[in-house]
Amino acid sequence: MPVKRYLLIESQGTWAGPNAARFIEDACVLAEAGNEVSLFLVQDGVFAVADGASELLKRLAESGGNVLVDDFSTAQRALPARSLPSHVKQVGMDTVVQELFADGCQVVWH
Amino acid sequence: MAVIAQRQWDLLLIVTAAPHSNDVITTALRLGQAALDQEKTVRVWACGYANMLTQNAHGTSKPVNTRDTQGTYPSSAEIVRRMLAENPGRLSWIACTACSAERGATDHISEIRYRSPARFLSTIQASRRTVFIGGC
Amino acid sequence: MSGYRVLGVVDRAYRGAVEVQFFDTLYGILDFQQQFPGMELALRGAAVTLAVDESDYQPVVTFGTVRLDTLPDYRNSVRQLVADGVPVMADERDLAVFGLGPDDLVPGVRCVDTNELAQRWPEFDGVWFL
Repeated sequence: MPVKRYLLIESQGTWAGPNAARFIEDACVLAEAGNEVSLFLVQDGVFAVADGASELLKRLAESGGNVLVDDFSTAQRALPARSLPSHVKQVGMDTVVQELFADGCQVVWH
Repeated sequence: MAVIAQRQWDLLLIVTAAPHSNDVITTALRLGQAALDQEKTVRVWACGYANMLTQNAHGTSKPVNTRDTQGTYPSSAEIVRRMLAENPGRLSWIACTACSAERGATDHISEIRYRSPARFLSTIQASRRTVFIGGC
Repeated sequence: MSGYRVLGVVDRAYRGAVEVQFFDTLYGILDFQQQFPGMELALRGAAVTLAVDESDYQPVVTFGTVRLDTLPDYRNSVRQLVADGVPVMADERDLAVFGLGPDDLVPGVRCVDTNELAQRWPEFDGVWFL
């Protein structure tokens, strides 16, 4: 299979149910298959850095995936930057636009 | 025979998620603005209850805040109107006619364009990037 | 004055910002105090973060020259509830998920096991998940 570039956006978070973790696992599988993957956590999706999905984020990073977390959403939810693990990068929406318009990028929102 | 070339847009945000359910509208607007800030052109296609955002019934302000009666709180319709006014030809907001009718939300502010879902695919094809934000 | 007592439980937070502004769940509790003077509030799940005592978050978003500085101000609303005498509780277990505890809460918010709170449900005329 040809390598593709993906931007996955997780907005729901694991408190809403199991499907957020399943989506992050999709990101892991894509990355482990050799695709270029960025996962952007936004809204309640940012809670993944601090709950049951955090191991999946580590797995994604270890597979070469890029784990990004929204600065506005983390501030909104009182998650200070210092609480973020080292494999998670806090970014603004400008970075997301750059990812989105990178060559060949396909975006998938959950 | 003359060939009419369809205009290409940079970004299409298909917003089917409802306002007042989570922060999706805020994120969509932030993403759209960030794209505008990088000289991209942006179209929003509102589906489902996202069509409530731009109803004339909102007026320009939200209802009075009983704990801050002198405060000014712009309505969602007013925010969209101001964003459109600030980005002529670079930002466009489309109301899906079927969703608007189905949700009883057919009275959009005049800046909104009505479009049939029959043109959904052609709208996607006229965009370099499409973000489908589900939740309808 | 009504004697109708309500326990409000918020376990879903962050339900809109730009379109909501002041008109969020916490505003509802603030606004209904006169009708429901005995109301109490329990925060559970991710909603416990509404009561974290911090001042980094600014309720502002900017769209070009359109500056909206009226986004929901969650912690300030909790502070107002406490100041108005509304008992506010945050779930201990859910706070722990975020590495937080009683010392991280807005002063006056109590850290409790909100399941244990069910033992007090008979005291209330209504238990509402808001």
